[in-house]
Amino acid sequence: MSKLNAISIALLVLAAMWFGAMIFLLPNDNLASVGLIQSDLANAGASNAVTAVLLNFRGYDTYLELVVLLIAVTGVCSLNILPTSQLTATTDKPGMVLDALAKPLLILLIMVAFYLLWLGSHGPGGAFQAGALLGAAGVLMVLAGYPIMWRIDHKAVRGLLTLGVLSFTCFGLLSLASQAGFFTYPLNHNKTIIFTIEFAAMCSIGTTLTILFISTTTNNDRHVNQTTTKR
Amino acid sequence: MSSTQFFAFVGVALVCIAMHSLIARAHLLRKILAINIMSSGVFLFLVALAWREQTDLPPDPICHAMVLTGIVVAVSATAFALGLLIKFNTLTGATQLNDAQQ
Repeated sequence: MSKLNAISIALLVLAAMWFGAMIFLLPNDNLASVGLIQSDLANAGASNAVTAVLLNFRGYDTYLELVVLLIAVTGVCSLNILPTSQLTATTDKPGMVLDALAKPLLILLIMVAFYLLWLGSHGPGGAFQAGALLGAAGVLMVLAGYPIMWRIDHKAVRGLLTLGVLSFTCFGLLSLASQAGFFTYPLNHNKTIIFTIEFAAMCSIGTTLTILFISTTTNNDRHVNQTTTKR
Repeated sequence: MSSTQFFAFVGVALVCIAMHSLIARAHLLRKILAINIMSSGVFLFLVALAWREQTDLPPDPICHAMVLTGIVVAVSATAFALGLLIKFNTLTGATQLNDAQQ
């Protein structure tokens, strides 16, 4: 083991020095992409450059990223570690203090999520930040013990999980059908299209993060039971 | 050394430290943590290089967009890896792969 340690440390110090030297050799002037994006930003449908890149200029990135999320959820669900409905639907409610603290926080999280979604068109914000907040709201609900039935075989949950990819695909195919090219939105409608996709992506990301959290914090007693019966 | 170069170098250092942990540590949870730290290093590197000192232009939005998507992908990949680890631990009771146990 110590030999492996020494070799790996030596190689990685070399790698760090090499990459560090590369950083100092980088040109310190304009990046070409910044100018390109700035000049075409008026036609992008979102005045915030990051949102424009995410949903218009490089729509493929975001589309495939939502597909990756869907694959991750599918993978986690195929491992069969998600709690069954009896385990999630806890009969005991959160205590009075926890309930009184969690409820305003949940409302605040959801409100801020929608604010960030709206903000994304012209400032720092958007579907990812909003989806992360919705995911946090879901995690809070799970931890506080609210009986939310996040079961993957529930039709509504499946719908929410696939909403982002579906809407992205729909608008992509529509723009393809109007002979503009995949993800080339019509100029007069691109604001609406981008907001719709962002809303769908926010719902998908929030649900995905909540389900991923549930799957990795599965009730431990179930696992203990399984292992003890096995041995 | 400008701030861009400093933060980019910190990113590189994080990636290398995490790579060492990924290679040299056998515990699977430490490998998952190492991959997370590595992704943080990559994000720091990208965000640092998005803006260069001697320009009036805003930072490169492509780097920022890539970091945004990258964070979500890293979280979901971590969750999937943790799911695999839980399943592996449930089935074998071990936290290391077989070839690392000698």
